[in-house]
Amino acid sequence: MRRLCIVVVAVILTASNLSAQTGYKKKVVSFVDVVAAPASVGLSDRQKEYIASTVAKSVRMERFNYAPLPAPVIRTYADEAANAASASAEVLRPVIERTLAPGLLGILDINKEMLSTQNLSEADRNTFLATKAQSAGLSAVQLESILNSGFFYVPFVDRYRRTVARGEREIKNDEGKVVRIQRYTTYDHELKVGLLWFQLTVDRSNTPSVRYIATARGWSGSGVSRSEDQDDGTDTNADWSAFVQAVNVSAVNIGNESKKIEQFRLAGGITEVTTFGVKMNLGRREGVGLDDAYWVEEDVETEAGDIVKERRGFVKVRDIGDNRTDESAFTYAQTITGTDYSPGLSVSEIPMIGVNAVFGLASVPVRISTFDDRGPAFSLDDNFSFGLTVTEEVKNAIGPFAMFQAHIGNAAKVSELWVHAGAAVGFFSMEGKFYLPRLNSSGARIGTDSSNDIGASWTGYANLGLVKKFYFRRFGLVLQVDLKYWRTTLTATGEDKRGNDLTYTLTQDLFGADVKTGLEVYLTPMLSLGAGAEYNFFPASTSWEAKATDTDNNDTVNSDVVGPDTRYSGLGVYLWVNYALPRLF
Amino acid sequence: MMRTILILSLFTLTAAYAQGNLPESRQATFVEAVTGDEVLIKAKGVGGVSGMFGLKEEESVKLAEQDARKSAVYFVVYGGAGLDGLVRSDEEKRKFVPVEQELFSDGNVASFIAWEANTFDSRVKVAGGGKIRVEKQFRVRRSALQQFLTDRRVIERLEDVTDELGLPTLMALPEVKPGRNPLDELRSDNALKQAASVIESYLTQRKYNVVAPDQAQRIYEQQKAQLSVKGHEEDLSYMIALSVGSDIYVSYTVTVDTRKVGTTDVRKASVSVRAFETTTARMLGAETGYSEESAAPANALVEAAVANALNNVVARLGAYWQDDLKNGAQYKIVFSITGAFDEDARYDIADAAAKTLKKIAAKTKENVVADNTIDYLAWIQDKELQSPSALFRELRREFSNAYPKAKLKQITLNRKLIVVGVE
Repeated sequence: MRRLCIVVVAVILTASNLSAQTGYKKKVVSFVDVVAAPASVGLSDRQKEYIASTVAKSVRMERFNYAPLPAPVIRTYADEAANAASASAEVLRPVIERTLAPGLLGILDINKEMLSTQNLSEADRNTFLATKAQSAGLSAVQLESILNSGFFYVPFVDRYRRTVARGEREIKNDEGKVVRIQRYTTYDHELKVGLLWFQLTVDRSNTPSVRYIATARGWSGSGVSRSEDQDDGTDTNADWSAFVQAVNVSAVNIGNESKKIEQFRLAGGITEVTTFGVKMNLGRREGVGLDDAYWVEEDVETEAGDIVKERRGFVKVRDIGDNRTDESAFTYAQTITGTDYSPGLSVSEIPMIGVNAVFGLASVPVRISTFDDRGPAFSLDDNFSFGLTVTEEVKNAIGPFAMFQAHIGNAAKVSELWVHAGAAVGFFSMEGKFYLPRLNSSGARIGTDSSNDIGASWTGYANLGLVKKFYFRRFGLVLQVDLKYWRTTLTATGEDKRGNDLTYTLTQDLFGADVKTGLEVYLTPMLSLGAGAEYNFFPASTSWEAKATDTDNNDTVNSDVVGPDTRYSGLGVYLWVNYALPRLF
Repeated sequence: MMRTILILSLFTLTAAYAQGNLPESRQATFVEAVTGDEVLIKAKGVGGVSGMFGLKEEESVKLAEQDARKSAVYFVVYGGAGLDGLVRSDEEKRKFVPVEQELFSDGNVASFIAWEANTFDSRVKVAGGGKIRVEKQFRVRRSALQQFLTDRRVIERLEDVTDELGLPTLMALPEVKPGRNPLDELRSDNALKQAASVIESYLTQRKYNVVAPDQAQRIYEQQKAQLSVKGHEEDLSYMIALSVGSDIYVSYTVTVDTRKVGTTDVRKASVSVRAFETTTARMLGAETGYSEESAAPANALVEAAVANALNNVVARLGAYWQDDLKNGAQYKIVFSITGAFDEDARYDIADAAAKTLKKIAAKTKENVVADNTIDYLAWIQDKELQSPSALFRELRREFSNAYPKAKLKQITLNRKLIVVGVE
């Protein structure tokens, strides 16, 4: 059954000061699933269902409670929305008001007493009615705030483009010879999907109305694009896989963007100040996560008498209070920036997706010893054997590096624990020469060409590992361990028997590990600078792969030649910028 | 120049000393009367502690919190919108000055706070960043404060003043249309019954004597025919109060408004309480109390509204009683000329009545002198004449001396009303 994808969120609206001081009020979400899309967006039912269910999962958070809308209500909306001219807020708002608002109002009405009771503040529990009269009677203000705090979300697709392209690549045998052409299809899906948020309001005559609040976009700029290749003759379903990836990435962004909407942003107050941090009146009940960042804000009265909010700094959660069972349990957050905090200051969530991009400059240890085997040292078939001299030792290479860090602290219950994957490229200049064969027209070796200097070469690695950080104020000590795959390549160009280019390559691949330590300094909650050093553990090796590649992309390979002694073990130095990504791309 | 600096310094020091323990902010609002003894106050406090590197925030917040506590207590002592203060008259304020530093000391203030919220309602940096202002809710023990002030003779304890005569007798009756019997309304209306019950409970807690409605009904029925009070025939509350001899009667109206929030009925009760001096039907105090608009049962809301109103009304009653008793026990004395007397004789009787009362009472006030009725208010200070019967005997004796041709006959005799026949 087609279901309408509408997330109904009941939000307890409170004044900003009050909400800051008294903590976040949990929201009620009621959802059905129908994706609003203009007719020009050609999505299949299966695609729409996937979008609806994935987006629903992305806003499934502790800060919300959930309750479904009745099926007939959903059907009515689905029928009306299907006939809507567009998927815009202006068009959908009256449809929601007619079809869904009464249903949500009914749900809120049934649950308002229970929801209000959950939201009673300490002062509310000390009034006459609560104490001496021992009445659970809730005030009209509290009940009305529940009824006036329903939120709907409508998933919409603003743009969807599927492109299909054909391509081919060469398949080589073990000897490196191209043996056949493999044709494949590339499926590309570009998607702009988001959520339209609306609020239910109820006047004193209990008449519901709906107003547009915000849009949580799953994309930025052009849409989220993902592509996958499928070789002809295989059934890997790359088309669906690419679509799913695009939707999943969009859903992560939508969830994060929804948290940024003012009504849904976690906000609370500082109840206590400790030596290195603060305690806040938020916890597991609201879905606070380990290492979540919060602005510390203060109300300041201006000369004109207006009250404005000023940011004092930010803190990061280190220990989450379980206020689901114990109202007095508070969450501890470490002070990162800002000083002289005191009880009564407010805290406001800084939603992040938990993925950092780290990039910078590195000096990596690559020691290539001198070598002299004009030989030819590297034996290849077809008279392609060649030699090499290295006249000066290479000590290091300098180049950029980049990595992505993903926060796993919540899953592992260890603060500031990250998994990361990255790569680096280092360039170095090598003194020495290639000794390439000179071939006649019949392919016989007639001499040696020593005109090719080795010159600029590159080395690089890819790594995967864990990062643990320890913070004191804005300064973080970074400890990292990795598994590494390192490759160094030396290249020269000669000529084959027909005078066409023949590329000679010497490559070394090694696996190893490293440990790294460094210091990061927070500039903002999203940005920090770092510097560090690492020590690599690699076996020394003289084993290289020699290869000659012709213009038809045929390779002549010898995987086990003895080349220059190369060591990657040693100290590397890094400078980097760490940026918390606002969204996935 | 030096002299100017010295004068300014002295002035500042004097001002600071005068401020002493008193709160700086003094901003507070009355929220509700939680119980008869405690009131819920929302108060603001201001504090600022400077250090070498600027404002010391945590200490400033603590100071502001303490200032808020003091402001809450200050509000209860001096009163404000919705709450009468404990210290009202100029004399009481004058007596309070030597005691106020002690009352507002940090240790003392804490003893008057029954509860305070854990969180601030607001926290704002003010004065260009030099101070912090916080707002919090407190339950202040009004009765404890009152005890503190009476112990130090700032205000008089009602019981002390009324040592011989006791606290006033009160009666609470619902306000009804002219000619209708409030006791009948009380029987049929639950909200009125609840209000009556709360008022009686509140008053008896404070050791007032309260006449219950069923008692009043019986006495009124017995004395109805004998009550000869002109001008108030249709005001049955007045007549009933007079018949039972209450010093003060309290009339009240109860309104409970209902509306729907969703499918839930929410109600708001408002209770208007007016207190009258029985002898004269003079209004002594009036206040309207409101409850929160809530889904609570109507009875609970009525109780909340009554509590909010009574706090102020009873305070005013106490003040009235203290003032009135300085003149003595007050009576309404009505001479009803029942015998056959000509016009000259009536003048003589009126004259004799005036002379009699002048001799017996410390203070008199003539209300009505009509053909057959002479109506006076008299304040009796003589300790020998503190009971109605003793007073009647003295009246009879003195009247006989003033006008031997007539005698006084007892018609109605209670602690408030003496109706005598002249024949």
